[in-house]
Amino acid sequence: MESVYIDKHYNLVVECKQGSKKACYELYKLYSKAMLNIAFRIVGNIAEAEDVLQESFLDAFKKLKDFRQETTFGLWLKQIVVNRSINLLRKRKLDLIDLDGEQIENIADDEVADDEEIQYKAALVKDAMNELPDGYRVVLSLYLLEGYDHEEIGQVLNISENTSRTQFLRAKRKLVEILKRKGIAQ
Amino acid sequence: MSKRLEDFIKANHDEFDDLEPNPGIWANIEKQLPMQEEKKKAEAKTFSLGFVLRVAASVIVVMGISFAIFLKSVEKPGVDLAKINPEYAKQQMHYASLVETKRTELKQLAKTDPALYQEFSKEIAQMDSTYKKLNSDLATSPNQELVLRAMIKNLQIQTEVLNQQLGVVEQYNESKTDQKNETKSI
Repeated sequence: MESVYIDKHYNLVVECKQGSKKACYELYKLYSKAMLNIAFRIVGNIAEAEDVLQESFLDAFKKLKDFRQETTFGLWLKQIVVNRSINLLRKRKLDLIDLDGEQIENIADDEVADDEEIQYKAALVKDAMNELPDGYRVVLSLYLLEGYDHEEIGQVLNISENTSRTQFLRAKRKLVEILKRKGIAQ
Repeated sequence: MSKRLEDFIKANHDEFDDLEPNPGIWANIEKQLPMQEEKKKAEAKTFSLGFVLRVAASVIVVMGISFAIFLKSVEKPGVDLAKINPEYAKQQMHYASLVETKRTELKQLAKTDPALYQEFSKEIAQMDSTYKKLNSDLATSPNQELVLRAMIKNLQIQTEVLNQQLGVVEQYNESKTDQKNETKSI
């Protein structure tokens, strides 16, 4: 996430910075949906995701003066959303590494033979993801959908890079289990 | 399996973003936006093209109108001289234009001797300032005819002086060419 980005909405951000409510609303329209879904995948329920969305945008608009636009507004906002979502999980007393009890050796990345025949459906996979324990869901979402690597996940979750890797493998396994149980992947 | 599931999730990222934010969220954000007081300032900084064009157009219109008013005011120096005394007005016009042409004549001739021209024009300038004072008094004077007569008198004198000056310059130039001719003939 460190390469140089050209922000399509650079001027919109400048206008919002200068206090144009209209520009801020444009930014909200552009990013609110993606951000809500990111928040939802981390916190696991809509009401809380909406709280995170609202607080994150307010936070972003308040801090916009200090945002030097060296990255895109979208990436910057996403960081705010991810951090706030994770903080919310923490408040729920989630121990992000409480699932470490399982034996790691069981989690060799197993290629299942019947994989090819499976036709996944996004909505169903999504539902299955939502059934994952918080710790799994967060790592899986950040890695697969938000494009974080394990180092970055380690940083935001305050866990080691390795823990992130094993968590991810377990999460994936668990997800397949859920999908199988639901009769989607057999 | 998991590689395929992984790829599927990555490839169908957009389909995982299916939640739509509640429209009430923006209203909540807007209520708490910190930028109301800065709004006016910001709008002064960023002009839309339409606004700039409108301002430019009105500036042009205002300039045009003021130029027209200026032209009119030049044409009519506040007081209609013909109303005071049509005969005097005619005289005034006559002498004023006479003075004008003689001055330009003098200017032409005096190019050969700037020092002389300077001295002559100083005299004329003095008389002219008296004329201007009379002209400005004219509007408020209880006896406008008297003032107008004085103005004409002033112009007459200016004409005479200019005539004399022109004569001097002519003589001077003549003697110069004579000298040249003399030196040539010798």
